[in-house]
Amino acid sequence: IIDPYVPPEGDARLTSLSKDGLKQRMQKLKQSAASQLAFNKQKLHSLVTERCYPDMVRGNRYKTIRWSFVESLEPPRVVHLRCDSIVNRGNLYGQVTVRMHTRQVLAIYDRFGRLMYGGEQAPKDVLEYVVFERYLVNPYGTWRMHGKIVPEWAPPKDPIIKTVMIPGPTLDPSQEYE
Amino acid sequence: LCLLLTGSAWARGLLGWAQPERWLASSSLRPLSCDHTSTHLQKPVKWEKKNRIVYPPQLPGEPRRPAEIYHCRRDIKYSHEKMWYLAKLIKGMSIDQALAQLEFSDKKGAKVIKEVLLEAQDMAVRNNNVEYKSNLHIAVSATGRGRYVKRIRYHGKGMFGIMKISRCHYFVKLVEGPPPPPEPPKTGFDQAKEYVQQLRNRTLVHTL
Repeated sequence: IIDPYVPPEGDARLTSLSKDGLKQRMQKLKQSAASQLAFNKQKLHSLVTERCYPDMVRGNRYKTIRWSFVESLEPPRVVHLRCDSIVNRGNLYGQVTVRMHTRQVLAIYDRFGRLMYGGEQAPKDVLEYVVFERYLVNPYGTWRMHGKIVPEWAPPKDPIIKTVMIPGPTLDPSQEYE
Repeated sequence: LCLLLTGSAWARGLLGWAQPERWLASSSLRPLSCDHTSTHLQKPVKWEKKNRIVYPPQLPGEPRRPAEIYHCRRDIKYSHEKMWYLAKLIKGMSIDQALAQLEFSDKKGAKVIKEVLLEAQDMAVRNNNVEYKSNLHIAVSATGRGRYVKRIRYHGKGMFGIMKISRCHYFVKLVEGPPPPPEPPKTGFDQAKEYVQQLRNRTLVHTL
């Protein structure tokens, strides 16, 4: 038999209180939880590099994000192209900057379903310079999103819906202030 | 004489569960499928998990859902009966009033509860999208007993007593919004009205 099936140890002797049984059940639970998440982590890792993933995902766990792409106002153009080896010599990575002028809809809701940012009925025109990266040494490598370039002349973003208190300077009770 | 007997009886009572013969004998007769999925030795963490529920986004016409923040502190070195008095004190208050009352209370638990409330307020503003930190009121404040530990308290003349070191947990739930108005106390007139209504509700059953 080529590569025979190896059944897990103690197949018929598993009880819920033995160590092996607990480990297996924990693994099953973890797998089912990861697959039932609203987004597929494996697929997102294949579309976005490791540098970009935490920027995208941080703070999202207890929020609901609704994003949709309406249309593209101009066809995307490649603007900038660089190729360099990182850390070791021979570790070739290629990075491409793409200029995208698109219309998008973004709405972020907090834990209780209240709107925090944006709106679902208001599409916004967005000019972005998105950087894609590919590991060139691997012939089956894919172009993944690596980051975004925000120019200094970009218009300021919309303010968030709630008001935030910025702590002022610490006052000394012995001194007089205006 | 008497203390030797009590000492040995106590030791036997404590180690009664650790008899190895009984343990091993029962393990071989256990069935394959067990209904008990969680053992009693795991610490219950239900209150912390309440902070993780995510509600679906609200439709534009719905009234705004008030934010709820659950916070607790485990294993406070205090008695839960004594802590209950403080928890009952701050039950329906707004958070500012509660902090003021706790700051000038003489009890040991007041300091702990004040820290817990400040932590919860900070969590509310940072993580839970609460706009005004004073716009919170305390919906639920409860205490629970933690794990007790027995120690020996030495008396004179070789006598000893068994001391119980008590710990408690403190749970608090902050809800966004002004505190609910206190219920008006029941007047005599209301009680009389209820009595008359009860008399009028009387009827005969299973008759013509």
